[in-house]
Amino acid sequence: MPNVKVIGVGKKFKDLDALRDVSLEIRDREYVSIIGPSGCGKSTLLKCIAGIIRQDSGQIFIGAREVSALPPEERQLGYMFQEIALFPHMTSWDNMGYGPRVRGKNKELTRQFVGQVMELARLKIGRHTYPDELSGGARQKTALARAIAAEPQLLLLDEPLGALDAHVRAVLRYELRRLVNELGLTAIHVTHDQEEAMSISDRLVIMKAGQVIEVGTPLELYLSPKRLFTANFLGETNFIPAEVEDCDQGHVTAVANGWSADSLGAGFTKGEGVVLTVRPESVIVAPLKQADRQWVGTVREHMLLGDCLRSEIELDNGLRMIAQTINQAAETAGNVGERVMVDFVKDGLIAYQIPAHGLDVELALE
Amino acid sequence: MPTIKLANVTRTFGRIKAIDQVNLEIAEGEYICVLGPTGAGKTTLLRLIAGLTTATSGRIELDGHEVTNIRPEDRNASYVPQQYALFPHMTIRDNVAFGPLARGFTPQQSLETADEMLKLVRLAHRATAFPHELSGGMQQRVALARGLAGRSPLLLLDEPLGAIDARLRMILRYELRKLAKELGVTVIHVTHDQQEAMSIADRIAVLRDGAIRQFGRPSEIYEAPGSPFLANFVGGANFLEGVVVRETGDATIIDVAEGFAITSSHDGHGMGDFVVTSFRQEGTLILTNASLEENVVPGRLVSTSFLGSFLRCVVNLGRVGEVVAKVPVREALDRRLPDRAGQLVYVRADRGRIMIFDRPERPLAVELEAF
Repeated sequence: MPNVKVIGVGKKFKDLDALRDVSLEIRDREYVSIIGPSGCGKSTLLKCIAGIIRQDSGQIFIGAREVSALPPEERQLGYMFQEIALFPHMTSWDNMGYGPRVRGKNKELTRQFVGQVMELARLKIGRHTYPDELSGGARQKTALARAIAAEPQLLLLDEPLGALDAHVRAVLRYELRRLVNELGLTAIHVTHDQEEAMSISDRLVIMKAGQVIEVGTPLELYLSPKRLFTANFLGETNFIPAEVEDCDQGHVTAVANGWSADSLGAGFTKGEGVVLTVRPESVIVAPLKQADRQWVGTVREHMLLGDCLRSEIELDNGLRMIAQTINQAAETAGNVGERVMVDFVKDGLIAYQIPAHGLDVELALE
Repeated sequence: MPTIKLANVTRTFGRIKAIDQVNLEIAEGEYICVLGPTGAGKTTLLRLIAGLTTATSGRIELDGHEVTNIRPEDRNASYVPQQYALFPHMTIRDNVAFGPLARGFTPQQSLETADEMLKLVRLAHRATAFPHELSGGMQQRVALARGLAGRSPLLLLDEPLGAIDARLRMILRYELRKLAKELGVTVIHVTHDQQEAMSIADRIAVLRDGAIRQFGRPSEIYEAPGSPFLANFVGGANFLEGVVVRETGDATIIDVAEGFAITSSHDGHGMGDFVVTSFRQEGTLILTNASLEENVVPGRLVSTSFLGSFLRCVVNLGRVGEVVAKVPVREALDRRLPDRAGQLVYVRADRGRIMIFDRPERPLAVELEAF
């Protein structure tokens, strides 16, 4: 229920800057995911909010209360780790009833309460089942139910689905989101999985090397990120080096290896180097027509990913392009070895400044 | 000529059949993914081929020779376990050179091979680093390079991308396939990630409860899954139980709820048969206007979530049940599809895209379960 404010938080581990001046505001009842490659500081930030790690500098507020120096148990939050920490010697029911009992509920009330939490979590397990007798999915739900049974206002989730198979993971994330919604909690979820984060979050916080790179809704960050790093981290993207020919009213005409393309962008000058981005699903592959001189190439590889066909096109000007066609429309994508033309959906291309530290460093995931 | 052949291979642990009567033939140079949920027997299958565990019954052949009871080091296969252990006190280069050295190459040859393999996995610039100085993803690539450095024609990989972040995993899977094809090695790659298997494999063997449920090209399994479980596990789909009420020459009509009939162009089922119909989420269309077309059902939007390339819409069709539609995100934006819970929408699936299965013996929910 509370909002969370992180102001100028820094944390060093020996010489390593784990967090550098991180500020963040999370609204009441918001579901926010913090994502980034391993080592970016996302877990450290969550542990600072939880009070498990003490920050070197900065302040943390939960609701109106400053908690910067409070121990975890006084912060009124539920915390769930990747490594499930259920008490192995207790039944799953007793695990879930641990919080309520510690908070002074009697046996009967605890039993009723656990029943309610289990119903909410759509968890069906026997009263005398021990954690090690459960499937991975049921164990994870039990851990979540235990965190919720402590009646927290703020739920902190560190890779809560990390230990699960891809398939189960994709099912449980929606259950998790529904549960948090129904309880009206504020939730902060740390994950390395961009699809998981996009699918269930109100907003995303993108981190890299101890810093917050960008914050926004999944749709905003996916369709029009401010940083090239974000574009790459949130899914496959084509990056095309080009040179500005003309820039006017939010549109840029740029030339990439001799071929020109229109893109979104402002504030560029003629002759300036840029990077054009386009998502594979915004690349259209079509049969070659006689008149086509530019953006033509040869299909090098097709891969059926299930919901779409991923094609690699080698363009005649030396560029390589990845296209994704929804499988219903895949007949137009040509066969391997076939000559095709490549087009882009309207506003599919965006022009960016070349990062000062170079494109490779900007995009690096490790 | 198949290079790997398993005939009726069974491996039991006490009363549990970890591998149950598996038959498998793999040709030289193929990239095979063994896909299945946790506990399906994937690792056991790989260890049987590697020789790290022996079959209770059945026969295993490599290159036309029976190897069922041959020691691992005499099988000419390189096994990279999920818990690869790099030597912490050795540099990356020495770690990789260990493979060929153990196989009897000279130190000089071993180091040359190591350098070559590190170049292939794009870690040549970190050759003098120690394992703890590298990220999990880099360490996994070192383990892979060590596996490759042995120059075995057969590479057995257990979750080779398991420890790697989702986004990097996506990139590395394409590189892994390219690498295998460049080297011309035969690969068996174990994974629980269906997207990974779809994007990397020449053929996929789907394993469940120790048995191979389907073995085929990704497109075959996706387009013609052998059971509701396979349709759900590979690609994901909607399922509606029903009964065949009519069968014309070119269509099967299935009643899926009182008053709701679905038409499929697939045949093979007769009147009165209890069946499960299934259609892919990305083949499920969302319409905003009513029309009296076939296979159009009205419903209420339950929720939408954004997946990147797709918008995932959950629609409640009342008595018919709940279905999921994956709409390409550009289309969803261009058409301004409804996004508020409770809004009226219509759901449609082409008759050609409605699959029909026999109704499974156990309840559908249990059949689909992959826990």
